[in-house]
Amino acid sequence: MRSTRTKTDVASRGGQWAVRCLLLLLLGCEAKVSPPLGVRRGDATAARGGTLRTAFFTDVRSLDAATAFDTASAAIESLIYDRLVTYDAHGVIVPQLAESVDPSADGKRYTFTLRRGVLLHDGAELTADDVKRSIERSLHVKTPCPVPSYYERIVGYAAYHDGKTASLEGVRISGSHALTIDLTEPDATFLHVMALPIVAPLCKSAGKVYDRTFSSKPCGAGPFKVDRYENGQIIRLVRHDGYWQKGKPYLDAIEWSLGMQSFTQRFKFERGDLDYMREFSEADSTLFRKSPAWQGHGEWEPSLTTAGSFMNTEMPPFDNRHLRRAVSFAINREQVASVRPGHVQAQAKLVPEIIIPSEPGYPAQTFDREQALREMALAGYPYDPVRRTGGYPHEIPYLAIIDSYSGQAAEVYKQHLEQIGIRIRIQLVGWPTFLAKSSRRNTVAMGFSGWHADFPDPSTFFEPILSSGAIQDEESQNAAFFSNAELDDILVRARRSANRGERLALYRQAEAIVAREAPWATVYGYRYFELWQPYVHGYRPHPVLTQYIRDAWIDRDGRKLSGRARGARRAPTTTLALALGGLR
Amino acid sequence: MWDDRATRRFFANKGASVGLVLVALLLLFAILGPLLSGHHPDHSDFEQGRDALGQLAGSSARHWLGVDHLMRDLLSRLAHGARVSLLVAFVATTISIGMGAIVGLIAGYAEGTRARSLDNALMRLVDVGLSFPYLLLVMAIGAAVGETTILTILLVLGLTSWFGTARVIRSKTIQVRSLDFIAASRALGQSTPLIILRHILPNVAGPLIVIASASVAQMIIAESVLSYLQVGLPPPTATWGRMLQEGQRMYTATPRLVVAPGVLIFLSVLGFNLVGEGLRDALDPHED
Repeated sequence: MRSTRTKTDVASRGGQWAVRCLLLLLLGCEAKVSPPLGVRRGDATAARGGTLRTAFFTDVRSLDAATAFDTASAAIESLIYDRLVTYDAHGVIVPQLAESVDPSADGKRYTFTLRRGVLLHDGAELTADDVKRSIERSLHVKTPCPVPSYYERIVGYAAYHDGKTASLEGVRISGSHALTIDLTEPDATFLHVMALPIVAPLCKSAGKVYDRTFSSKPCGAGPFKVDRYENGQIIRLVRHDGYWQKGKPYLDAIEWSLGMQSFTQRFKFERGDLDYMREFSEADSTLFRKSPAWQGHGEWEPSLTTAGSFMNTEMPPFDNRHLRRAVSFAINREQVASVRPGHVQAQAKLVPEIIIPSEPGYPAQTFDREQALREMALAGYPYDPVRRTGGYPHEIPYLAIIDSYSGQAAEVYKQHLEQIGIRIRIQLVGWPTFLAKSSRRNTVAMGFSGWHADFPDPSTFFEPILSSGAIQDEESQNAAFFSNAELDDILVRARRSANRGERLALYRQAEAIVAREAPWATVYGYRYFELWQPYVHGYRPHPVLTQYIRDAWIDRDGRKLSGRARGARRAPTTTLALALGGLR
Repeated sequence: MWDDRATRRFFANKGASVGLVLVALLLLFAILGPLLSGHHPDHSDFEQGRDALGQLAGSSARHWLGVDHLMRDLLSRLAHGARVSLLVAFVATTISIGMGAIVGLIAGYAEGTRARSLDNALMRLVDVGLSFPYLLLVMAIGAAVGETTILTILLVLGLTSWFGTARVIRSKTIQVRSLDFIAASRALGQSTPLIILRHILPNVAGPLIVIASASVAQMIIAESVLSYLQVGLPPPTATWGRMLQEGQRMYTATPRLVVAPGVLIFLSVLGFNLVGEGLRDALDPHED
């Protein structure tokens, strides 16, 4: 058909679009997300079948229990490798592959009795020999285990780890399904470290010594086994039919798409191509949380992280204790948290709330600009905030990680520190560079510090990152190079104590030292918002284990009963309500 | 080179006029924008940066274009971004054009003479420079230098972008050098530097101006790309590329954070390119 539009029409339409664009720019817009595909049926019962699809922003480099220790790997490892002990839904340690765990009265011997009839992925029955072999494999001198020191209190550890003995003396088989582990001293964290994938029992195919090819064909005693693993592409797990818990798991398979941008994940989730997601951008998380249609299908996972800024106590200017204290007093934690509401929570102490809840008088760093200015004066760098004179005369490089919240937080710190006369210059580097530089002695004066609990115990927030033992010239976990004999002594006493009340009191003292000496300015904790489709049942964020989706199941009928037609036009992601509405 | 006829030709070209207006507006925005907004581009407004629901504040009397993800005034950051972009673009272009002109003039004048080995050496250098992926080279230098400052950016952009200019100026120099008035100057005993500066340079200035105006647009894009890839100026310095990169996380909820710097990059590049084309047409005698 011939167009009947005149030049005036075209000009008029062009003008309208110009105005719309201008309004878009000036007024912003109201954004929406589509309602979920599928419905949640209250009367649905747990049934086997279905594939749960999800994604990771990162790649998963390894699935070898002895070496893979990052968050993404840990989520998958918890499905492939059952351990002797694990955490229940309340975060309490309970036996898993062990039927019972008996600690001795002096806390120096643990006797594990294994469940009978537990089948590994290769069909062999789990025995005590598998457990001993797997522990020795992980702690072998040639195995690049990231945290072998967690197990250094096992009798004979040093000799075995140094390659002087052929076996780990402290781990003894006392029957086909029983073994004892002897410790050199009582260790309150021992069962926590036994719940890590590092010491999960592996199939015989793993061998006695580390072999990097095992990562491509992992074999354990978990509810799922690896069906497909392509680096950077996909990981597909399928149900282990011989799993020791009868009737579980429910899912036929779980698939992770790897290296998928959070932006892409969000749209795939909205289209129904993903059943569960966690790595939302702040904007998308807000949109889903605000959407009435998505209420009840998502939850915050508990924060087991502490982040802030380390100050290298061996390097100027932060070898000056008052300058460190000035920084810790100058940062307004509430303002930092307000930048990413919900995801970031102000945190003025080292140990997160979920591990030690705050109570009145609990030692913590505080925001007090006047005190910060007094500390600057005590440090020898008085600053006049009215005239903006004085302060520390040199710019201090601040190391942060590219494409992470650490850079944004640093931009806020910069504003706070300028108000007390400290100028920082932000340097953004990639993760490997950050690790290499921040862990090298006398290299970085100040930078991002963050720590995620390896297990839910206060010790994990002190010993690996602030004890003297964690200082090394290279690859030092203690980036502040903070050495304090009083703190070291408290940490050893706390680790040896079996009395929870006494331990908490000791960690309180440790927290007071950190608040007073300020090797870190503790600023915030980070948490993720998790969301799943309404037809996904049996999942809630676990208090300790990330993405613990082993008991999830899919209501396949609910998936078909679509709340909106699949393929139907999606609600516009961006509705120019003001701009377009005003012109219609 | 530039006379009344060239001026007439330039302003008769509607595209060139539009380009000139865009460039003028951009300059005006860079100069006056920060004064208009009244906010420091790096300072967050924690009091009014978010609404009651936690969403970033939109347009208001306090923040005309709203705020960014760190609750900083968007208008102020755009204006400072314009300053950075224009400063980098103009200075890097000056370096690039200066280098290109010097190398091109020397190589062109040396071509076919006893000093032709100099021409050969310079042109092989140009070949090597042109064979490198430009952006990769810039990123590699930026990464090697490590700490990026405005000086690093200027040098990196300026010193890696003169190769094409050198080649154009060389061929133009060869043309001009063979003209009679150059032979006459030489016969009168004028020195080589004087001949190059007084007689050849003015005759190759037309192409240089055209290349320069197009180069400004390229430099704006290059600086934005470097900032977008986070190898440009460090935060919190406001640059359009960085604003794009930071805004994309918020795109679904607050598209203006991406649209605003994107539109400014587009308009400024368009403006300089239109001016460049206008200059080319105005300075080309065959058009008359």
